[in-house]
Amino acid sequence: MSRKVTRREWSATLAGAASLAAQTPPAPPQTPEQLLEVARQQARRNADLLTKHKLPPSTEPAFLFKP
Amino acid sequence: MAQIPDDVFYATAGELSSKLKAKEFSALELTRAFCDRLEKLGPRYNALSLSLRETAIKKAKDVDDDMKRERFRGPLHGIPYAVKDLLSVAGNPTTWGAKPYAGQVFDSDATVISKLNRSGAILLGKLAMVELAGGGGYRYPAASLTGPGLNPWDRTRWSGGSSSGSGRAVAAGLVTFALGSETSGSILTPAAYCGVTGLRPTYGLVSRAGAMALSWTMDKIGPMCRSAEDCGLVLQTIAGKDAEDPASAGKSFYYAPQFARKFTDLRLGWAPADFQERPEAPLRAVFQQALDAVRGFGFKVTEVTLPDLPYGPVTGTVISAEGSAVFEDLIASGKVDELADARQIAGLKTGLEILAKDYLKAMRIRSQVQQAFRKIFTEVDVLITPGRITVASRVSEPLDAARGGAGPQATGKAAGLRDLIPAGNLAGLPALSLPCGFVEGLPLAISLVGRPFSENTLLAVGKQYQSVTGWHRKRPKV
Repeated sequence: MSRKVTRREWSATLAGAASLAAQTPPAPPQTPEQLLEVARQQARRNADLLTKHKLPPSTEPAFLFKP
Repeated sequence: MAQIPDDVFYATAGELSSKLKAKEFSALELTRAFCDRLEKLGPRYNALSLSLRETAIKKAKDVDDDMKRERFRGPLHGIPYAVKDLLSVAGNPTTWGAKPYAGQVFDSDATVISKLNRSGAILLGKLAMVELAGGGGYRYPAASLTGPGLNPWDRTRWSGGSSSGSGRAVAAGLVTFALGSETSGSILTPAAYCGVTGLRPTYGLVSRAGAMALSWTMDKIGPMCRSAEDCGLVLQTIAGKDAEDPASAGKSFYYAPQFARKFTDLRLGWAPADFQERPEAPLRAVFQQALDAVRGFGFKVTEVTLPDLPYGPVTGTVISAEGSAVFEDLIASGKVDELADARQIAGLKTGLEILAKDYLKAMRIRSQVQQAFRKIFTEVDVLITPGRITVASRVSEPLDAARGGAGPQATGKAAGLRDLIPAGNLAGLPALSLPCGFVEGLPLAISLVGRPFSENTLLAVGKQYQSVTGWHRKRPKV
């Protein structure tokens, strides 16, 4: 015999699931695509931090061309 | 035939040289005994990549012929050693620790191997390493063709990487010394975790011709030994100008700790946070004791902090951009997917997407890092810091799950010299790792860092430290 679930019961169930999800740490990336995305995010974070670091225009890169 | 006593496997190069000269055993007997041990115990720690027994035996016979004629080529004559498998040995596989290169063979020796060969040192084999020296960023200790690096002090612990086999082989008494390489931490970390003495030379002092490139502007080759003195003797042999390495500094090195400045004239830089806050609590007393011992040599002591620069992002960008360029063909061919570590694969692929402006920005900030060190080294001569602020992590754990100590970002505590490994590598500075004690039966180390080409100063301090402590003499039960 089926019982109709009220809106209040649905709401309580969903809130519980959301709270459980909040407590569970996100699963580490597994697929190659996920790992690639994580690596890209890391590279973007690095690039952002480099961009934020202000340099005098006269600062040359740390390599030297020797003819 | 002379029986080789167990102590011999843990003797320094200097001690072995004396025994060879005293004819306690022949070079052939010594070589056979070490080859047996390397082949028997090497696989126990996943340390061995390739045994070169046949050529080693031939070489040992030559050494014995020399010795019969009282011909001594130097302090490494007849001394057994092995190298990280990123150095080419003519006609033998050079795998770079990676499956896609398992069948790779070069037709000439790396410059450092030719130099050691001329000195009469005996190459016993090639040692395991993290695949491609970990350039793509790896997540697991098992990121290697030969499996995870098992620490001789506790096989459930990691040996550190990427010169992982070099650290393990020296610690377990499988060779008297080994060569490793460092781009950012790859000599210092396994030296610290395995309890051996490791020297990262100044960038350009040692030729990299015949070595796998990971980062043209950061790669260095250096010795991992039983003592600071052995590091000096090996560096003396492998350093020097080489037209085959465009980054060669054109300088040679002569090990002469007796001519180092008096310690009372030297200034030692340190940061309290490195010893009292950042390491996990049980480790602090060990590091403090090491610091006290070094301070006791009479240095003028000064507190130092690295300036706030984005060391991590700069190092990551430089290694990633250069490493991915080195391995562009591997990535394009799809063979990169044969690597053992999925994160490493993703890291290498992503490195090809780094923009020129970001790489150049990183290299410009690197100029500031160099400038910052020039300023620091007007105030001090030697920096001292814990090598790693944790003991070796468990081999079963991903490296990003390892205990990290009380990091300043987590605690709001002072950074001190926290970033000295990436910063020192960006600036091409020499560093010496010295075993300094144990926690949970696992080795700890302190690091000394100096201005470019100040290896003799670091080695003199290291030698003095090892004359008053016995940590470098401790042996694991193998």
